[in-house]
Amino acid sequence: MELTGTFGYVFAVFRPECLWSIFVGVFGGTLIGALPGLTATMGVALLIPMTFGMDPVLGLNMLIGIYIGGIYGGCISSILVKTPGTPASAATVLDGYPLAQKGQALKALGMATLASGIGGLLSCVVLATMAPMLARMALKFGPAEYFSLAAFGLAIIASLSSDILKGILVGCFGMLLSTIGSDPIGGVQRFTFGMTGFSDGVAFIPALIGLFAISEVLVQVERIVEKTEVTVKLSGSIPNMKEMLSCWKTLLRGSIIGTVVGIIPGTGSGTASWISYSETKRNSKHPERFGTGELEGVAATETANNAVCGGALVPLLALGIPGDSVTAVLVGGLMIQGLAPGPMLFVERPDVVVGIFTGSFVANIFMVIIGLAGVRMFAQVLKLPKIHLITGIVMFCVLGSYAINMNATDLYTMLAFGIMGYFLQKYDFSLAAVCIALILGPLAEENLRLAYIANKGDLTVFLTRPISAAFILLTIFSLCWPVYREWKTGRKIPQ
Amino acid sequence: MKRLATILAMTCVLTAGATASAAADFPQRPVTIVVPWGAGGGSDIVARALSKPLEKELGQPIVIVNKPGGGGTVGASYVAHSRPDGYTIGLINNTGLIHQIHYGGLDYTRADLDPLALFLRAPIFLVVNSASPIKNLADYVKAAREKNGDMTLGVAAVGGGTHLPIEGFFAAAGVKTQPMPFKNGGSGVITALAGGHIDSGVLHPSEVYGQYKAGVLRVLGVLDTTRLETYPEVPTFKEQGYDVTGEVWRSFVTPKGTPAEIKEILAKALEKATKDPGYLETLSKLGDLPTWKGPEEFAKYLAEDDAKLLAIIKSLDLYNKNVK
Repeated sequence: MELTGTFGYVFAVFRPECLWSIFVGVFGGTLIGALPGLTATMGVALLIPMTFGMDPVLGLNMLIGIYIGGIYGGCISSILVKTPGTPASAATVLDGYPLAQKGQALKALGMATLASGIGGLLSCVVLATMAPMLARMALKFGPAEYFSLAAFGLAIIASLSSDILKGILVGCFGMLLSTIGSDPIGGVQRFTFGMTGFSDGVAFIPALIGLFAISEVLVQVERIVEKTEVTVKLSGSIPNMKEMLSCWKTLLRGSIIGTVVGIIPGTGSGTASWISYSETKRNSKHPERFGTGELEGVAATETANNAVCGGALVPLLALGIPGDSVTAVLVGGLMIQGLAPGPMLFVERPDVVVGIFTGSFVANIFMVIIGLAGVRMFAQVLKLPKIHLITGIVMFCVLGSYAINMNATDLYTMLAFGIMGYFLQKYDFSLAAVCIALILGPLAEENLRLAYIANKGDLTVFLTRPISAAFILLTIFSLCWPVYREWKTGRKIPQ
Repeated sequence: MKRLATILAMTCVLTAGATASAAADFPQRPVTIVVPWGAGGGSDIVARALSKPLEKELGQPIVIVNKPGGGGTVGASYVAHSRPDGYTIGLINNTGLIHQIHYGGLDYTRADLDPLALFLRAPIFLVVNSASPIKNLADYVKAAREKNGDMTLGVAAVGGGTHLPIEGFFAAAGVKTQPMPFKNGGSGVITALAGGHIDSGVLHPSEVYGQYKAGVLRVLGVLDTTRLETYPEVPTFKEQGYDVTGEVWRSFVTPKGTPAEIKEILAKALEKATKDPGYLETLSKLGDLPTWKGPEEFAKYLAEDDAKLLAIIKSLDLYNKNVK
């Protein structure tokens, strides 16, 4: 019997060759994601030419498989060796790595896998049911809204730091670093000292690798020299049903945050995972445990970053506007197939749209299967002698930092951030604050200035536009919250 | 030791022989195409689509190396400093050969790159939201006058590939607009246009297609000599009384001093490869137009286009902006 209509398009995905290409995509994506420097964006970009001659549903689902696998894969190296495989997983380092150090690597990886799956699947539900409607919401974001969103994101720095003053200090430092390179409006070079390698600013991924991975390598080397290194034991198992259920609020919150941030064009999984992390910490009964190996912290970041995938596909398919950097590359993939993403795609090629919706579900399920099957294998990395492990990490960091732009300046960036990260850690400054400032600083600056130009210097626009005003209020709230909390606990102690 | 000396001597002889006959049996090893933009972007897709037929023509693998950064200047500089042996060629568009050179602050000049071939043109559209009362260029000029310089114009970069040509139109019409650059390029401009956050924008046809077909955006005109096949209903600027044209073009260049015979081999192979049906299909999907200008013709055209754009750059006070 020939199946027609939507069901036919759904079943078209369950052809063996289509399932196989999704599987290959997810598997390859996971590997790409786990290797520092090789991001989901790069994986998709490099595979687009391979999809030239493929059937659109097959080719596009393979690319989406890489996307979903790539965003997930980043958590593996974040948790095991404190090296964010992709910027999306930088926030996972905060609790994932301490968990692994406590011997709970399996629990952390298991939670990351399941959380990614839940976030991914829930965002796919949103994608499949509400795409055209939600896409219109994305258009409400003009420069004023983007600025306020970025300001809200930057306010997270306050809630992440144990010492608010130190957090703000290092956050400002990160924002200063983000002003290096082309001025976003006039395009004039700033603080590059004539070095062309800095013309696009501090390369973010090498900086991230340096900040987290190289600094940790330095810490480990120091411990080896001082003979104070700790051997990591591998115990525990993947989280059971009870542990998963106890995190349901975090998982749901992360999925919603991820999907919404994904839908807003120009922001991505990096932003979503930080917002989700800080919201989870704020709502937790024991926020002080975050950063020391709290399972909920891993759940928060990993649900959010994979929920971005479904979210980011919403404006891509419904409007032809990419939701994040990976979907920006996917536009190329669609165009090569002769498909113009946008409202007409739903009318002209329902087979492709339904195929992508179905493919995204399947890819998420494959991701969970691959992840759970691989958890034990991935964790074996920790059994390597420290000295070998460190050497390997440095090698991958150098390769990854160079592979991004094939630019030697990026290697110096990585090294400089590594040394900086080491001293920041030593003096108890938050690395996360620098990371957030580097992600959101440019977004805030560009849109502050665009809003300023568009409104002829009238800055009340940030308060008169409703979405922007809401974010400004949230910003004030999240800045005041840690102060309030400190004041409250401070009063409790003497009692 | 003696053995080592023999090997060394033989290597010398062999490499000497290789240089002497370099032109005749070029290429002997893979040829690298440097793309100064990221993987997955327009230039990259074009390079990868072209590499297949080019491999057939040259009989050697083509390696594509992405060197993004600095508005195309990082990659262009890399080509300028590569060995002029024909094994490294750059896929550079006019921003790297004209615009950026006049903005200053680079470690290469035009003289460091030899023109090889101009092979692709990407036309430019002036676009507004469909809800806008502006229906054609005459309306646009009128509205821009009324707004007295406050008409916002979304561009990928101030002084970038799409921005300068449209400024040629503004100069001809005697109006001024307020450019607003969007870091994520065309998609940022489209988002802002569709959401009604800016009054107008300059975009390439491929970027507009989805929103145009859906009736969200209105194209006021194409800045080209003739109408486009895919947009037969969009009039040119000339038809509307403004005799201005402009485009973003992509070309191949070699490092200065590449032997003329090798350049000829490359140019011939490229000319044949750009006629490949598979490659042409990719171009049409991307909305780019194939064209062909060999080394001499391209050099002449480059000088013409340079003079035209330099006048605009100076009028906008962007000349040497990076060294001021």
